[in-house]
Amino acid sequence: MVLSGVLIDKIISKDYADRLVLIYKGKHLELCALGKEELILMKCFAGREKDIPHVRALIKKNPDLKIVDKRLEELMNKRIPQASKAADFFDDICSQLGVAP
Amino acid sequence: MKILPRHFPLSTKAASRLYWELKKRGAFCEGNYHAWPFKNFCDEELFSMALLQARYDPRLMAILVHYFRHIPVTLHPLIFKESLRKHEGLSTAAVLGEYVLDSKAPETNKELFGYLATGIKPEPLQLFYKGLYPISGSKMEEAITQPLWAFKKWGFLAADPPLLKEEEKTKRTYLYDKITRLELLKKMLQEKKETRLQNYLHLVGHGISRQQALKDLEKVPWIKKTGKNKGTIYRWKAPS
Repeated sequence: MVLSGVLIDKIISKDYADRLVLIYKGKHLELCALGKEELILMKCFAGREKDIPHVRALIKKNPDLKIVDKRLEELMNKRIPQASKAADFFDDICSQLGVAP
Repeated sequence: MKILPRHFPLSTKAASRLYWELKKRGAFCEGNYHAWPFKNFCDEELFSMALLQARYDPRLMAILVHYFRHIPVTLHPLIFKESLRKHEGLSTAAVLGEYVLDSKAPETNKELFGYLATGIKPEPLQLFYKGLYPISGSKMEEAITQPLWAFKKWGFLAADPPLLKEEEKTKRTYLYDKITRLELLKKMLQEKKETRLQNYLHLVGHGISRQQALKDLEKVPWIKKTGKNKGTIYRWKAPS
């Protein structure tokens, strides 16, 4: 899947499975959704106006912001396109909310 | 209860109810029923309220654009315009109207938005979305340096077109006026030193035709053209 020209599997870290959230459990099927940290990462990469309220709402739900910050730094070091833009987006919203990653 | 400025932005529950009401009328959204203080609403007032709330919620703006582009409405033009005038929402409707008029929307909707925009003056320059951007953040910079044409025309600054994902990909929407396009081009060339036609089209969100893009590239003095046809490269020519 492509998000703003960057493959999602390049954005989220390998340990994403540790943070999956179970949203449905049937007899033979379990459905999981990505954790808050991964959602924030993806929204920061999308970086649209409509993502600002979503990231704000997710941050208010107490995710581990250090995970997001660390991952963004890793992606910037790997020179993944738009990583620095995503990091700016994330830092702006954190400072707006007065929270430190 | 009447709509008052102090009601905005709506609370989460009231916003959810607004989405629910819009869904009932065929909009592409989901919401939940919650009690709210607004009773005996006519549709014209409901859409006025949605437009006022859209100044705080970019997704709602996109939902409204999508709605008026696809669903023929039977809103009473006089009542709707009066309701919007009362709540100072006419310029917001005019912005939305630009995206409706620039589409294959039902004729009744186009006529409605043509009528709403008649006699309206642009607002003093301001950000379209209230309280959205972090102060002096990257998104605010984007809204100021790359304002979208439809917003700018009515005195507003915004960075992203209010379109749902599938529309962004499949339809050409005119996004930037010439001044903004050339500013974007200049910035790109100063950074990358050279470009091709396709890169320029991508930069402006494919909002203009190939011919218009060629005209833009060939008429500015700070570009040097080399090569022919598909191999043409446009290079930054620093002013001497």
